[in-house]
Amino acid sequence: MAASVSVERGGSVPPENKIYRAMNPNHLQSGLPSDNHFVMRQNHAPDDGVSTGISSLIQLAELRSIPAIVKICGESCGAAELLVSEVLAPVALLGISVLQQDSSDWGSFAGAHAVITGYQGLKGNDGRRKIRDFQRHLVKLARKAYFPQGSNTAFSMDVVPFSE
Amino acid sequence: MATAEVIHDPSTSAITEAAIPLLVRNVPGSTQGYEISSEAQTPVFFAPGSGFGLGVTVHLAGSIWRDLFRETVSGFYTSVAKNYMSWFIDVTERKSSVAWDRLNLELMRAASLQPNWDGEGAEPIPPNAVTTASILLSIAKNSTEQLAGGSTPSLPSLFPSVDGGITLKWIRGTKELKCTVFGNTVEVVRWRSLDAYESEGLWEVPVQEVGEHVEWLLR
Repeated sequence: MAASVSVERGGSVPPENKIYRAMNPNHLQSGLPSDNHFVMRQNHAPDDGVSTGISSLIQLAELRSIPAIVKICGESCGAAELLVSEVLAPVALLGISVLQQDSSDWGSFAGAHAVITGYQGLKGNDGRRKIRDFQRHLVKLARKAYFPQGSNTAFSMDVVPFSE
Repeated sequence: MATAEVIHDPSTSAITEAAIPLLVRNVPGSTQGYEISSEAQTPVFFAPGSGFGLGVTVHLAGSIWRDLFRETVSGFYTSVAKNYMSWFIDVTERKSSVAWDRLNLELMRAASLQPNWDGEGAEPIPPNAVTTASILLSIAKNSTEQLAGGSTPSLPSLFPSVDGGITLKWIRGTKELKCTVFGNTVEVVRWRSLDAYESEGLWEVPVQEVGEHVEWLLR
């Protein structure tokens, strides 16, 4: 198990931490993370959010072995690694945060679960635009450090996959 | 040591001294005729089967053949260039057309997705969204062909979104355009720069109004 660091239960994950986001293979675009991996809606419940694992509390192999993730992603799921400070850099003033949140689906790793949340407070057309900007930002970060399915090596795939 | 012996023949020395120029004549001691002239001759090319022995004819024929040769070569390359351009445009248009057809196939594939197609509760794509996305593809294709001339096709990527939408995303130069169809309307978001975090705006418009955003991308 990864070295334990202090993450307050229900509190913000410290900015120097990294978080893993499991990548549903059905959402990959040309093999890369896409918008569908970071779905955020204004009408989500306040405690909803983008599900992640705190890397100091759970290793990649352990994340990949969680039954709920195996069920969706299959064996040795692809995952992105994001630095919390980078995640929050452009949205710190918008009330978005990364919060530790126990998850019963994660069994013995329940405490390693965290969510990216707070976007529900962004209202109206402008709020929706800000959520789209943030979603795009997360996809870019995910492409910067992405562990493809079955790989323990992170690749930076920050390339433009679209045709000109 | 052997020494070359020069034999002086007084009968030829006078001829040698007065030998230049010589026209066609027999050189003493030789059975062949020589034409010797101090005038430099212009090289000529003989057309096969013509101009034998006639200097003027040979020069004229050479000029005609040179011109003809030059014109033929020039015509050949012009023709090759024209054909190549026509072939290139044909191929480009065909490629572009195939690419748009492929996007329509992608749309049909998305239209056939079942509820929970991603294992996480994703919604299927409703028929009106498929129709709207199809119109959007048509508008985008027309705008691209008009503004980009088909020679530099700007094709979007197309993928279903988990909330029952169809997303078309373009990146062209530094601009990025994202159109997500929800039912009969389209959510449009534009980024002026790939590095920029903040978008220019978000519009929710009927599909007929998306053309101006595609034109923004192509301009």
